[in-house]
Amino acid sequence: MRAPGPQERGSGDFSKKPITSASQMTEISPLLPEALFNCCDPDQFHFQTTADLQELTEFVGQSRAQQAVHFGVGIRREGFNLYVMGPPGMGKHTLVRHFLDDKAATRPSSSDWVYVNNFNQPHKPRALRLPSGRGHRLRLDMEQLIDELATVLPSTFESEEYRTQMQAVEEELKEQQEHAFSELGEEAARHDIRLFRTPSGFAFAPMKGEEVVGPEEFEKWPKEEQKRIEQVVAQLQEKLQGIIQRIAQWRKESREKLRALNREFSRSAVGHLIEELKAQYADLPGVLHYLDEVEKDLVDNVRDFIRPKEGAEALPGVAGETDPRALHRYKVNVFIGNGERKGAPVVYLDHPTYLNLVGRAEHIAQMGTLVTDFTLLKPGALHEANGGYLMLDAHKLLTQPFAWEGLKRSLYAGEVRVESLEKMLSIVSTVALEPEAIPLDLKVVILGDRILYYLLHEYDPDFAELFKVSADFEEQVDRNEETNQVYARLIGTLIRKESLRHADRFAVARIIEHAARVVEDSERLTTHMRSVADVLREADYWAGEAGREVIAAEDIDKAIHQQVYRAARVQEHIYEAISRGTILIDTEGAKVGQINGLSVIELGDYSFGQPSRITATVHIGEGHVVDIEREVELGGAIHSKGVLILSSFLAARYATDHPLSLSASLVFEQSYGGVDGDSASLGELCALLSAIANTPIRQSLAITGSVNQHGQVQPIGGVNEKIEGFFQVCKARGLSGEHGVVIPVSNVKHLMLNSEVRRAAAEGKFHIYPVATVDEALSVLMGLPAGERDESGQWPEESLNGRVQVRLTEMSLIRQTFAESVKERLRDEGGEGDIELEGK
Amino acid sequence: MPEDPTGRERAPGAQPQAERRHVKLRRILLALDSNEDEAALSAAAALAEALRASLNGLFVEDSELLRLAGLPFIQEVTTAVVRRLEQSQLERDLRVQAERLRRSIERFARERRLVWSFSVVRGALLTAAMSAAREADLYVLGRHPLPYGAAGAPRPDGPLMVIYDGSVSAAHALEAAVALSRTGEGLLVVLPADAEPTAAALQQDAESRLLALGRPAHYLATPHLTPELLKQALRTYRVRLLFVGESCGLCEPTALRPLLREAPLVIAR
Repeated sequence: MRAPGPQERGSGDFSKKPITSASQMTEISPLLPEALFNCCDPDQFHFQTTADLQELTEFVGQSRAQQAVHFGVGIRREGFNLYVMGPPGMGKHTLVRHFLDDKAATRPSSSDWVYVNNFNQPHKPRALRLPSGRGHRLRLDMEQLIDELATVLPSTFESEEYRTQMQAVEEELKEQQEHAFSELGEEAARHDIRLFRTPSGFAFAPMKGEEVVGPEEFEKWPKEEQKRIEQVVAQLQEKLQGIIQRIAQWRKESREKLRALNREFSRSAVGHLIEELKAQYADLPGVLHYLDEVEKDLVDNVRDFIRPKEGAEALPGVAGETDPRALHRYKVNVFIGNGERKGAPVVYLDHPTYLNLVGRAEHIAQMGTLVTDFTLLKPGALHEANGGYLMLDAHKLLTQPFAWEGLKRSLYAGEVRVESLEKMLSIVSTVALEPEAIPLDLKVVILGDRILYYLLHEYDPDFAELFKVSADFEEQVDRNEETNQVYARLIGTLIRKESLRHADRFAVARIIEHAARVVEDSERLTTHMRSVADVLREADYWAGEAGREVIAAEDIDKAIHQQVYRAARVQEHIYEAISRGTILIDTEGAKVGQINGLSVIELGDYSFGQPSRITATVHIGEGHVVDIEREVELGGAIHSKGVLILSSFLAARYATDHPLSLSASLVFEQSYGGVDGDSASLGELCALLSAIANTPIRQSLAITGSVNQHGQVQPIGGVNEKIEGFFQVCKARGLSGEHGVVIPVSNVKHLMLNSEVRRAAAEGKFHIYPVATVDEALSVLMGLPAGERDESGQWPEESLNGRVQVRLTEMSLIRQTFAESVKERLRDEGGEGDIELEGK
Repeated sequence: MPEDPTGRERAPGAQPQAERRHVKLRRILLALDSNEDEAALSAAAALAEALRASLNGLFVEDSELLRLAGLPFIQEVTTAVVRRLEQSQLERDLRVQAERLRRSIERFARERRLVWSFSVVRGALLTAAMSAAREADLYVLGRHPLPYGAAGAPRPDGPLMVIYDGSVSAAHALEAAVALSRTGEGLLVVLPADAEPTAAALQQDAESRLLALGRPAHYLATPHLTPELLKQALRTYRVRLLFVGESCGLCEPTALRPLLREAPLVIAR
């Protein structure tokens, strides 16, 4: 049995008002008020307000994460992308962004990318890489070229020179035709035959003067003459067929000549303009190749520049419809234009849909259908961040359909391809744009929760391949004089960033105390920046309301109080129910097998403690402790584990020389929801031992803590909320000086209790008892020494353990006697007499 | 109006002021045969609309064609086949063409709200047209191009050409050309004059008429206007439509044939 001294329970001598404990009547002293709260001394700060402080450039307590980010960003190897993890509000985004911005500024500017028409396969636009800023230049140059051609080409084709040459070609054809028909006509005329045009073709007929020889007259002609005419006509028809065939050939040749003429004139007009452009882009082979293709296409499609006026004929030899968007194909879509920006890009994609990541081909409505082309290609964040850094939120990324898949595909392929979802999923097979893929060279930084990191690592083998570096943000930092100073600067930095009133040193001290309470540890401070910033923002408001120029400690208090007040509706209803006796909680007197346990209820980002009555009953049985919560499936696994530990504890301590012949049941009274956690196991054990020993427990006390098989008390969470919760209930009924809470000694360092509790403790109206063992807890709760085994292994009879031992021995004997009497009765009745009683 | 004192014998520029009044051209005759000519049809319809005149279509079934179809050995040569030319088939083809022309005239007339008529006669185009044109103020003859003669066809935006010899019918031709010409469109006035002073006088006369109509023109003076010369001019300028007065001496079938090979013709009376 151990009597914990003050040194073991925290820093300094916190004990007072001892309570008798254990066999030696060791006293368990309640904690001193100083132990209930680790004050931050404002005098340690040598500034009046945060305005006097230098801005903090590094993050408090995040050296591990910073180094990981530094490494992840610095290493230029495949798959070394970053996952930055930590709860929301830690300032991950700010830190990473800040770091990336600095890093990006030292890196060379990323390339411009433009999409241009693929003249051979228009549905596969070509991507061209240009040095930063020259993509826009190329677009302007091409626009200017097309503008100039729109003037130059029409004037070229309206020139006298062109018209003369064109008419010469036409005349040649006409003359060929005329000549052929003229010769044929003359030959026919020599035989008094003429060529006639019929509705569908031509026919030869013998003539007499200006009239066709009629059938009757023809019949009168000599047979030889008839035959001769027929033969001549047949020969002429053959020749006519030959002419018709030659005309088709001549017309084809004529068209070819006109095309050649057009090409010649086009080339003369286009050539020098293209050459000028090529000189400007001589260092870019891709652009030169494109300009060659443009020139060829311009020469072949000169008609697009010479749109005929309404009612006028098209350019000869190049008949064909004029597409109103025809000149569109010479445009340059500046897909990624860096303009004058220096350094690599840093992009944060707030809405990481699949299309926002990999880009899209937009459509426009045209004649009732949706059409697209290379000018409607829009970049995604992967394109925009190419050559630099892309930041993504893990949760948003994973909740957008196919966004994660799209990202992985691009990272694996090392290129990003604008591809519609339906195409990617092979849902449709219509002809769609297939733009040339753009090589990818960027670092992806995903920011998210730890749970997502571990889940991805567990279930997605690609994740480990692609995100090899993790940066884990600390949620707490040691609290000492040095970190207090840094924290003060951090507060000053947040104030500047948010343009708030500066805080005086008392307010800074108060925020530091609050930062310790947030992490429930008097020796540590939170690094959750959002919590701190929110308090500062609210305090700034209250300072304004109070007409103060700087934020004072009162404003911090008010901000914290108001945060609690706004969230405490449910809490107040529960406490009211306890005060009105709806929820049965005794706070005075003593009861056997009944104890005040403490639980924490979490509602959103607010949590509070609630006292719960735990009762235990015992009877003769087979050594089982029944957890009624578990039986009705209201208890969680951890709670069940705690209860099973009680059985082991009882058997190990009290049933070494006889069977444990009791059955017990434990209940969380008036609990209609789930119960989990083992923080009530100490209370349950005390209630159980009280029931066995038939010794009452002080109801003015509540207890929290878990217990192991050896009776050692282990720390629990939410100690501050639990104490404050029971305090509120007791305060409502009137503090008598008997009230208090028994807590694990290992939780003393976590105490950051509110001022009300501290004040009551200082006035001796409320007490916090730290215990290290169940025996200490029993002695505090029952006012009896727990007792210690003597040399023969027996407990002192008047000690609590002695009472338990005696009672359990009695129960064992009763059970044994009962079993023997049953055996005898059965034997008397001629039975087998071999009844085996379980547990015997 | 052969007895009209404004005949071509009279010195140009000496017309009385009363004659400068716009003469009402009330009836337009469009004569076409199996050589379908959309340009002539459009021009006739546009003229009728511009002048608020009636449009009278005349389809001439070439009697020579029908006669030759009666010969037993005559074959029709087309781009695709050589086949026996049956008279019944030929008549059917001509009826189809006539019906097509009728529908086109009806459509144009409805669109422009014109009074219209249509008739079919049998004979030679020029003879039949001139015979029917006695009741018309203007008659439009379709082009007879070379076979397969797409090349060298009149330009749809080509100029209008008018032969102006100072006669009343030439004045009507000029007026019709102005009515048909679009804003900014070229108008070529050919002045058939034997000597420079005469050409100048004719131009002055034409200018004064065009001034009244608010339309400028280009002038070409030629001492000896022959059909061959005119044909060359039509080809060179890619003339869209040729306007002549019936008294110009070109309205004989032998003179008209080469001209009709180049462009449709509008003859004013």
